[in-house]
Amino acid sequence: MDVRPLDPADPALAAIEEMLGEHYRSNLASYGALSREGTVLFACFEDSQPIAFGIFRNYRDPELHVGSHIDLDQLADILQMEEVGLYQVALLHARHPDRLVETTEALLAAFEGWLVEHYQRHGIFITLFEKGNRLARPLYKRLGFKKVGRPSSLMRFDLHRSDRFFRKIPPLPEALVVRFFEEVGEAEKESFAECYRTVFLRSARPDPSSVFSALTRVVSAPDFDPYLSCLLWSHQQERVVGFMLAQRPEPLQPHILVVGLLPEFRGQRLPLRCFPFIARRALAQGLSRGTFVTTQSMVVRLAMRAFGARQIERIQPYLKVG
Amino acid sequence: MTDRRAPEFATDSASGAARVSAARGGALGNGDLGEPGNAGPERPPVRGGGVIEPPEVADRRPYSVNVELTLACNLRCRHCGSSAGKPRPDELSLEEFATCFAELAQLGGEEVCLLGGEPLVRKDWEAICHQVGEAGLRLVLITNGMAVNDEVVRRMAAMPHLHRVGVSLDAAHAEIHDDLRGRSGSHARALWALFSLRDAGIEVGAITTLSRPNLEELQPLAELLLDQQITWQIQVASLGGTRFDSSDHLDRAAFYRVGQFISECRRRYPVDRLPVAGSHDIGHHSEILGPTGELAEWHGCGAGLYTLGIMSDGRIKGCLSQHDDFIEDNLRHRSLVDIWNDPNLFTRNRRFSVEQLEGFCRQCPYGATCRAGCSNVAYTTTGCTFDNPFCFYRIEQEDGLVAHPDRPGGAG
Repeated sequence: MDVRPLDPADPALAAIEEMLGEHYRSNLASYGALSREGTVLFACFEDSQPIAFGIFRNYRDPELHVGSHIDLDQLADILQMEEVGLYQVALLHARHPDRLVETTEALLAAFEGWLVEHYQRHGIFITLFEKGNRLARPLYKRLGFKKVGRPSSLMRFDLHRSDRFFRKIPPLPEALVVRFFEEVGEAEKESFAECYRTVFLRSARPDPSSVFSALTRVVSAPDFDPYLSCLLWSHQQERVVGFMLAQRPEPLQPHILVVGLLPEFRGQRLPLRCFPFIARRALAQGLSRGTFVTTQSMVVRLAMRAFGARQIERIQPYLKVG
Repeated sequence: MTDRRAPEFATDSASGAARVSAARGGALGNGDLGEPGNAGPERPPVRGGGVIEPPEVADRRPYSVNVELTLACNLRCRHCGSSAGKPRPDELSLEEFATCFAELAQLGGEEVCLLGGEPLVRKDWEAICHQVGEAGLRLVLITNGMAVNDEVVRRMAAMPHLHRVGVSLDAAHAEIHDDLRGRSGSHARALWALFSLRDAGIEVGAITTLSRPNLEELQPLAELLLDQQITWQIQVASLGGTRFDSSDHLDRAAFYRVGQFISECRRRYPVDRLPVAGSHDIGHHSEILGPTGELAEWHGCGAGLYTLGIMSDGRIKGCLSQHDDFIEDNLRHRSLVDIWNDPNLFTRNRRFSVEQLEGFCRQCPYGATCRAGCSNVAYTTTGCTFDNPFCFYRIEQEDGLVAHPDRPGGAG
């Protein structure tokens, strides 16, 4: 078995695209593989044919924060250490499930070797959100991965019951207005990037222009849903103070990727107050259910009470430091 | 481990008994509260009708600061609000703490409360304690007692600036305390620490964190602490920690029972026999129970006004009790003086307006000064820092405990 990194011209990419489409209804572009700097793709070959692959993403790339299903604050300290390469295992997959353990082990070993060549120290983390990652669960402990931080909860909300709940949700304060992505201009997008940077990336302190360009790519991605993604705009301050980004991985099931609010606007239930705006749009499109991920048990509890959301899975991050 | 929500203990700079005594005396004027070095923070002036307004910008100072020395802990308490156990990845060094304390003194701080995690598991805890004194600040220390031995007691007794030590004690019965704290023998260690520190001449207090499993321990604890010259602070476990089972959280009826218990203790026992008070998350403005806290009257959350919380990795909140959503900045990014004086931080209290209040709190006559009580309790139960269902006054009004003139059958 041969394991090697792939470049954008590798002929094996077509076979991997096929596997992604078949098993995940996705493609390499949606994982940023080969289109983003810092995303690395490794594949296992047998008889010159790819039998498994792994997608590894540089966690310092702001683009990857969106929808990563882990508590970003937990890794803030590591992100401040410039010499540490921090990568997320986005997806591991084997064509034949009975080869998964063997190929996963080989892929992770090859990727770790690559990290050793490029960084003084490194960290690899993984969540079991993706099916391929989940199937290889028994392997991680043996390979030295340890549970880190809080597990996230995958929540599902049922929009058919929403009217019953939404009557109780207080309206937004007058100074704030919801603006959906399909109608926002460049100035608002720039303000959004600044808001995102303040909310999630204060510790890492990346260059504002890199955040803007990364988020521009996020909102241009094929599965990003501008119809259900919105910004919270303050008339008084003339800036974006919060955001909710959604994607549509499956045609009839929106997924709220990430919710953020500037610190001074927290504690006013603003995401909850925005939610009816999104839900009404979703209902108008005939969407009955949606999902979101949160790391906070408080949000789980409140979402259950406020609009009948249900917890359908807990996602635990694992980290290996070398 | 120690409890993240023990800072109230720290804000009581006067002797616990004296403070509780003052509270029991009924209404306190500003003069009673404002004597530096004697009776706590200089509170904002009392205006007509006893309404206390937030301090003007120039008057704000971090009078009492709670410092998380480390997140490492030798216990795994079920109710721990900060889910302590392992240290944070990059905790502040001795030198960084020294700078921090010097800046606090510069800002007009008077008291530093060291807590955790468990502060005594840090090898340099004693050096950090001395740094507090060298900066001219009073020291309060909160411990679970596990690491307290004869040598530690001797060292603490030798610290002239050590004002008080709080020891976590959740039950009179060892099995209940040990179960909540996740380690057998922790109850015996806590009791040993309490009595040894007291016998060494250090002012000590017991801090009890209440959840369903130890709610019935209140009376046995009262009997245990009676006539022991130990102050007693009662607080309620919040929903913030990852180990806390939300079904163990006290509901509003149980919460009110806690207030009734404190009120009954104060009626039954003189303050010098059992100085007991509810923490900042227990109250407020009851028309039936009288004062249950350390102060005669609740003046609203002090986060960013009189208090400050410093996490062991340098992150700053208005109060360590607050949820991590309210982290304001990091003293590794800029000086504590700059952070405290930044007009765009600590906005929950500094830019408060009554229009922000929600739910019952919006119509509450105490809303303007109470600001919905403890912001952490409000946030973790409703998602809104300005809507707090855990309030004695609100429970009394909503549950009909107080006869209301405009309700059928109400007193006219």
